[in-house]
Amino acid sequence: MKIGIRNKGESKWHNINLLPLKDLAMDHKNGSIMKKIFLNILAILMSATLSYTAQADCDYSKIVKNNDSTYTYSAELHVCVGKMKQDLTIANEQNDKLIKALDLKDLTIAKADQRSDLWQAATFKLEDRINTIDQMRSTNQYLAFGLGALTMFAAVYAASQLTHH
Amino acid sequence: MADQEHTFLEKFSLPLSTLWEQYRVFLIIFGLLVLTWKFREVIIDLLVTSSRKTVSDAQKQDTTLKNEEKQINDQANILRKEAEDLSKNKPNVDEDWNKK
Repeated sequence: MKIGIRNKGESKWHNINLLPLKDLAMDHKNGSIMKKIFLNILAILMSATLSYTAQADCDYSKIVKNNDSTYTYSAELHVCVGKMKQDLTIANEQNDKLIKALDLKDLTIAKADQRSDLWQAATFKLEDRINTIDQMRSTNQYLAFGLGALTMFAAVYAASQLTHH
Repeated sequence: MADQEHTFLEKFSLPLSTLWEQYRVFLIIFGLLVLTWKFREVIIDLLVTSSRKTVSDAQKQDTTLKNEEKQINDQANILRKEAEDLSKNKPNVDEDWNKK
């Protein structure tokens, strides 16, 4: 007898061979029966207590087609089909959730783009203003120089008027 | 000396109307230049204040967008986690699955 076990989250199946009872009886003569019983029990306990999931191999080639267009297959394969259906339902739900998650991630990227555009617009605006301020400051420097020259000229002229009066 | 000072100070008593009549052109040009210079200084101050406001507004808007982005990203991560958990917590399938 053979059972298949696998760890949670693993896709690989591991087979464990259990000896039939008649073989156990045959081995009684050579004195190793206790050892083999112990190994069998250990294998069963491992599969049960370590949260292993036991499942027979799903060999769909064993499905037999009948003459009346119906199909005959074993109970194991029936469970396999049930698991397949369950997996499909779960996969569809996962797809829905992941598509929604993708849409939300797209929205996140759109928000990041908005932030980027916001700072780009602010930077362009600030650059324009800095250029304007720079131009005005340089013009004001000439104006201030001209005003200083005029003031000096007026002061000299006023002084000369006062002295010559 | 006192007489000289008195005479010097008296020269300042020239009436403003005479000053305006004699130096009108100079005073107008001077006044216009001062007004232009001061006007441009005010404009520069306004531009600086406006620039500071632009940065402040952009920071506020950025904070809002950042919070929205974080919320949406968290929702997406929750959905992804839920999708992952779906395959982890599968119920056992028995032989009567087709009758349920």
